[in-house]
Amino acid sequence: MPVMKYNHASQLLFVFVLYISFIAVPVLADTSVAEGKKLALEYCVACHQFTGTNQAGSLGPPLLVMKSRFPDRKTIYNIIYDPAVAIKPHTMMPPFGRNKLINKAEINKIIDFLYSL
Amino acid sequence: MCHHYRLSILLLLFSLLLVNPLLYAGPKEDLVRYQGYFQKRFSNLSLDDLSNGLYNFDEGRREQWEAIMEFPPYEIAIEEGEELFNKPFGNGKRYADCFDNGGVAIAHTYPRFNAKTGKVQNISAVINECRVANGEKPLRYLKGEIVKLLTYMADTSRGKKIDIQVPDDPRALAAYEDGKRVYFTRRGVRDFACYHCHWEAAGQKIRGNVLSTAVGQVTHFPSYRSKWGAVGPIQRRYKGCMKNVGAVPLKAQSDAMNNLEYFHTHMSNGISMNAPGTRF
Repeated sequence: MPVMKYNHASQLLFVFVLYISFIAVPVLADTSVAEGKKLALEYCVACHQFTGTNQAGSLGPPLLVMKSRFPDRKTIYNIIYDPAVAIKPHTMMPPFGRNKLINKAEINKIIDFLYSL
Repeated sequence: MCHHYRLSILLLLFSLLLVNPLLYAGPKEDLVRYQGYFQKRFSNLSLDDLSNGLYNFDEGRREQWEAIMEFPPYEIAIEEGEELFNKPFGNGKRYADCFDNGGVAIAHTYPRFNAKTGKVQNISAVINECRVANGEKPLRYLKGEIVKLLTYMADTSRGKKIDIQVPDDPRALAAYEDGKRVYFTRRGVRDFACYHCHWEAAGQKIRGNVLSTAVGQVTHFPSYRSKWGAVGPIQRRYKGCMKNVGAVPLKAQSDAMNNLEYFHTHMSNGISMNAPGTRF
């Protein structure tokens, strides 16, 4: 009986792992990219061009091949959080994190989206 | 020997520190630097060209703007403004009695420093001062009747070169310097100063909008803006800019706002008035 119980539990665990790896994680990641895009279209488009923009600004560099340009996620995070520290003191780019325009989770969603570009 | 050498370098540096501020002492030197900056950067444009703002950088919009200007949307405001301007107050006096030259062709010389109060005054402030002195109620600023009066008065200065004086009075210079401080101060959650968009980023795009150059902006105010569906003065525009950068706008007619207008208008000295203007 205890063996049966064990088998049942492991089967459940197996199904759960399958669910996590093939359905939940990709769906969550997709949602995060989609939400990140929405945020980027609100906060980044005024100055940066990227795939999917129509009336983008030209003040900042276009957001292209971001993953190879910024392999370290922390680099982009710091730039978005406070570019006056991460880039240069007199930058025009707003300190989105420092001034609480967006929160940590939102910055991460934006990075998920940027990494999809 | 080495010691002397070091000392002389130190002395030289110290004297440079002393001399430098003197080289850029005031409004006159600022004007040369500011206008020189834009003339160098946009060497294909004359100073008068700069007064056409974003239309210098976007051909499509320039064509649309030129088409609009064939039947300018501010014409009615000029007519209504002239009527209001000439209508006597209850006591028989008129606006003309409160201004030099009867209020005609003087708009390009405002804002002015008022030696009596020690403060900067734009035309709107003088209009209301004039009304109160003649037993009338002051008008509300930024919209309505006062803007029609401004529109008419600006039209009588069309073609005249902006001529803002900062008289030799420490209070006038302090007002000018305060306006400069407001101009270059970052504000709002987006942390922009006027300087960032209209100096550093002039000619570039923010969203779909092209940013005009700081020098040449004041010449077409008051201006009809499609967004407003009406003519409005420059302080209404400042408030809009401040909101855009996520700041609480300064109050119209506050010292900071008037000083900003003083400083900002001064940097267009010598450029022809093309107000009232149109922006869409």
